[in-house]
Order: sequence, then C-alpha cells, then structure tokens
Amino acid sequence: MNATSPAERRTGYAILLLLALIVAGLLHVQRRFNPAVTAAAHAALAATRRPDVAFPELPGAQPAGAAESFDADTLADKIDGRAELYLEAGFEELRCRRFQADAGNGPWFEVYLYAMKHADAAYAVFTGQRREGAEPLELGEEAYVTENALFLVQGAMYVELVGSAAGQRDELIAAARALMGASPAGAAAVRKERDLLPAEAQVPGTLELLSQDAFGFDQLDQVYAARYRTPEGEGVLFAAARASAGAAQELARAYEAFLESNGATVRGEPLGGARVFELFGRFEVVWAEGPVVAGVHDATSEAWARDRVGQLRRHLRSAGGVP
Amino acid sequence: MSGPLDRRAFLARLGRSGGVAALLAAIGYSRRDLLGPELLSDHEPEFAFPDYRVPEAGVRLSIVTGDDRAACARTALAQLGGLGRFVKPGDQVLLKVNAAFALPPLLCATTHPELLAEVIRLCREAGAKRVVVTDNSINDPASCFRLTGIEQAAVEGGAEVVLPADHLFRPVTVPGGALIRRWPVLARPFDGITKVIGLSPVKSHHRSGASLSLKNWYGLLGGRRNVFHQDIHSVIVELGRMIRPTLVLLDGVQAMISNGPTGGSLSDLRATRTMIASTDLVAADACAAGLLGLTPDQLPHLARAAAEGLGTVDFETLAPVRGEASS
Repeated sequence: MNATSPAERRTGYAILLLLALIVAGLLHVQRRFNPAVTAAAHAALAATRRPDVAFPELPGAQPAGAAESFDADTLADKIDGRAELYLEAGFEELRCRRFQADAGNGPWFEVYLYAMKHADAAYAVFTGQRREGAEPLELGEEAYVTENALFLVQGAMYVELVGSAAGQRDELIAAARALMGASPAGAAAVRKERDLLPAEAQVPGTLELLSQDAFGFDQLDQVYAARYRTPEGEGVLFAAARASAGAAQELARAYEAFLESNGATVRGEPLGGARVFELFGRFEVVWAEGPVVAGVHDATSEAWARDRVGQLRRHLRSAGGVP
Repeated sequence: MSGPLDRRAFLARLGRSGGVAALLAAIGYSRRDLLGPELLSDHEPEFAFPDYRVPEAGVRLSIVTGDDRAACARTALAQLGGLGRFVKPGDQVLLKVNAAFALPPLLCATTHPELLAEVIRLCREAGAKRVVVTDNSINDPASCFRLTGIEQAAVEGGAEVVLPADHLFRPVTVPGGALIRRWPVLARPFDGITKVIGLSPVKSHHRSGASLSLKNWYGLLGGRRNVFHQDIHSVIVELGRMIRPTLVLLDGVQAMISNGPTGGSLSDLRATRTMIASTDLVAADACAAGLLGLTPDQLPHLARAAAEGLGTVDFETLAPVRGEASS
C-alpha cells in the first residue's frame, strides 16, 4: 500500500472542504426560495392561452363576451380558490362564455364547460358542490337547477350555467338542453358504483363521490357517500370498490387504525367482524364486503350505526357486492 | 492496464480536473441570477405602505344586524363614533373593494355596490377630498368592475375607479416575510392616500376556509399570486403585516356559506344579517367566522396574526358595540 504524503492529504482535505462549502451554499440559496421563480414560469405558460376559443352556439341567446379557455395552470385566473377542487379531482380545460337573451342591460348568464380527465372526476366535482334542496332535472347524467343557476354532469364534462338574476330558470334549462342536445345521456353512462349505496332512507341530493382524502383519511379515495336519516338518527353511509377483496380488507384495517390513532374507542361487540367505534360522541364502522370497503360515518347513535351496518350489508350482498 | 499512479501523473490529472471544474464554475457564475426572474420592469425601488390607522380612534368593533346594507354600514360606523372620527376634511381615501370576479352583485362574491355607494357617501360627508376605489381583479378588470356594479356605484358617488395596469404595481417586501418579497403590489393608487378602508364580503373559501377582511388584501397582489395558495395562511398573515388600514367593513348581510369564493348559486348564500366594522382586522374576522359556522381556530391565520400582534381573536375583549339597523 502506498503511503499518502502530507501534500496529497492536504489536497484531499481541501477538495472535501470545497465540496462542503458548495453544499452549504446550495442549502443557503434553497432556503431563500422566491415564489417569483415559480410565478415567472407560470406567467410564461399563461401567455400561451389561445385567443380563439371555440364555443357551442345557443339558440335564442347571443354571446355577450368573448369565449375564454383556461388550463390547469390558468384555472385560478377564473375561479381563484376553487381551482384546487377541480385540479385535485382531475381537470383538463375550462371553457366559458357569457350569453344574453336580449341585447342591452337585461339579465345574462355565463356557461362554464369543465372538461375533466374522466367521468369520475366530473362526478366528484358535481356532487362535491351539490346544493341541497335544489330541483332535480332530467338532463345529462344528473342535473339540478336553483333560483339562478343550473348544474349538470355528463360523462367527463361538468357544466355550470350561472345567471345574473333570479328567475332565469327556463332560460337556463333551454340553454342546457341545447348544450346537451348533441350528446343525450345514456343509461350506459351512469356508473354502477353509485348503486353500491341503498336508496332507502337516503337524503335526496346528498350522494357524492369523494375523490380523495375521504373523512380526512388520505388512503380512502373514490368513495361514494350519502347522508341517511331515519326517525332514530342520522349519519353517512359509504362504499368504495377496490381491485380485490384483499385490497378492500387491507384498506378497512388501515381506516380502523386511522380512527384509533385519532382517539376512537371500540364500543360493544363486533358485527360480523366489523367493530363499532366512538369518536367525539359520534359512531364509525368500517369493514370489507368482498372487494368493497363499506362503512358508517358520523352516526348520531351506536344503535343507529349498527342498524345501518345491517342495511348496507344486505344491500351489498343482494347486489352481489361487485360494481 | 497502466501502472501505479506516480506523483507527477496524479498532479497532472488533478490539474486537468480542477481546470474543468473551474471552467464550469465560471460559466455558472457568469450566468447567475441571485434575484430570480423580475416580475417588474426596471429595478424599481421598493414601496412600503405607511400606517393608515388613527390611533386616537382606538381599537374598536361594531356589530350591526339588519337587511339593508346601507343602513347597516351607516349604523356600524355610527357605533364607532361616526366615519368622521377616522376621515377628516381634506383626506384622500382609498376604498379597497373585492372586485375579483366578473359576477353579478346578487351572488355576493364581490363587494356589494350598495355598501360601496354608502361608504363613498359617508366619506364625502366627512369631508374627504378624494375617494379612490381599486382592486386587482382575478378576471378581466373592466368586466369585473362593470358586472359587479362597483364601477357604477363608484362613478355615481363621485369616486375615482382605478383599474389595475402594469405601471401601477410596485415591488413590496414584507419585512421578515417569507413569501411577499419584492413582489408586485398594486401600490400606485395609494399615492397621496391618507386613509384606507377595506370593504369585503363574508365568504367561505375552498383553500383558506374563509375570505374575510385580512384576505381582502390579497387583491393588491400582482403577478402569478395563485402560487401563494400553497401556503395561504402564511400569506394572509403577511398581508396583515403589509398594510395597516384605517378600518374595515365586513358585509355579512348575506354570507356565502358554501362553494366559495365564487359561489354561483343563490343557494350558496345565507341571510346572516350582519355588518361588522372594526379597526382590528383579526377581531373582525374572528367575529365574522361565526357567520360561516366556523370557529376562529378553524382559520389558522387568525391565531398566527394575533400572535404577531395584528389584533385579537377574542373579539369580545374589545367590548363590541352591538346594534340593529333600521332602513
């Protein structure tokens, strides 16, 4: 083995010191992160927005402004803080345009066409913003109208028509029918997963698809949930299809562990393997039914939660449990 | 295969490697940009907002219930001793509205024109020499100011509307701030301004939980400000440090309780029948949180703002003056 001379050793130490200084310098610069760097990159992307946006014509309504288009990088320019809701679900493009039945200062409405990445993403944003008590419509896959606005979902498209005044119901419905005219809803478009939850005692207009972080648990995604109410109590039933019974079982156990880590305590005897938890005075149950993770969330009483476990089990078994 | 490396060969290789490393370092150094991309042209000097508060008016909170915005605003300000306590003859007043969206006033996503009209009138009555109305809209500014009714209310009241334009922005750094550093801010409309009043709607907000009086200053930011949504609570606290207004009015006559900050349906609104006026923005927001069914601890920026001395979350300690507005 060759002996190392003092000069070589000093050179080696000097190189190591230089590398350490470079690392320290990089860490120092990174700590001074300037959002302007990201901002400038986004600004460059925003500049690529197309000025000539195609938009469907609406019989009986005149465009009251230019059509606009927004992509994932510019969506916040239109809807600000709500953009994350769409981006998290899976967003492709928003096209929007204002229309007016009569020229002048009369009421107007704006049409928002959200092209989502897939049908589940569209359904998630549709149900995630559903207005309770609104009038349901036979339009698209699902639709409803309020005093001044109409909302519908059709495949991977989520559509909003927002009026500038109350009392535009008929005008909005006519415009929505015109938009959907070329692509009427088909029974095949309705996803079977929605039937995972029973209709009995379900509060109308509360069925929603939680695309991620359902009930605060980051592993629970693509969950169908709806509120149920009976004279004895109320709460939420949920169901999520998984690739296999094993995957569903694993997820159910993980959700139980999540509940326990947040202070939930087991109550009474399990129901066919499903344990009932109490958390802050509310009751939670989760179990795997074949390839489906099913459960009760936020129930007002333990007895009510146990009854709903029976109801949901019977429903899933009668439906075969597989979407 | 070559034999053992002798001293001469080692030093030669070390020299060549060092030369290449030095060349790369020189190229990197010549192309360095320690400031990052400039969002503003030129190297404009930084701007710092003066303190617009009126110390002798004290720290106060006024809560009024009613259905008529103008009457509520009038009563809320009267309970603070009248707007004349804050705005003196000759003052130049800037009203920071929320004109973020090109949406109709009935959706309450923006400052309601009825509230704006009344505050302009009261400023005039107090002797204000000039009233300026501004905001850096998210959508096209001209459409926003027109469709929200803000432009018409301002013009009819004799106020100046200042729409955002590139030359109106100045770089601002919040001392000790991690986010607002040499960031373009709609600052030129503040030239000559002696009093600043924030007029904001009470809204839920998908990202921050609520959009209230502190969040209203977000509308002064330029550039690609949506990057701040990734750390929304921090930027709201920095905004509270960036500008200390004279007072704020929070319009909760109709509050957007769901699907904020844009809403879209009248069913997103609830008649919460409340107008809040205060010199303490944290207290005003803590009070308004209740209108949205939230507790102040559900809005983390409030506790952080309070910890930085920007106000109090426990608004009852200010002994708020409560009243009812009659039309």
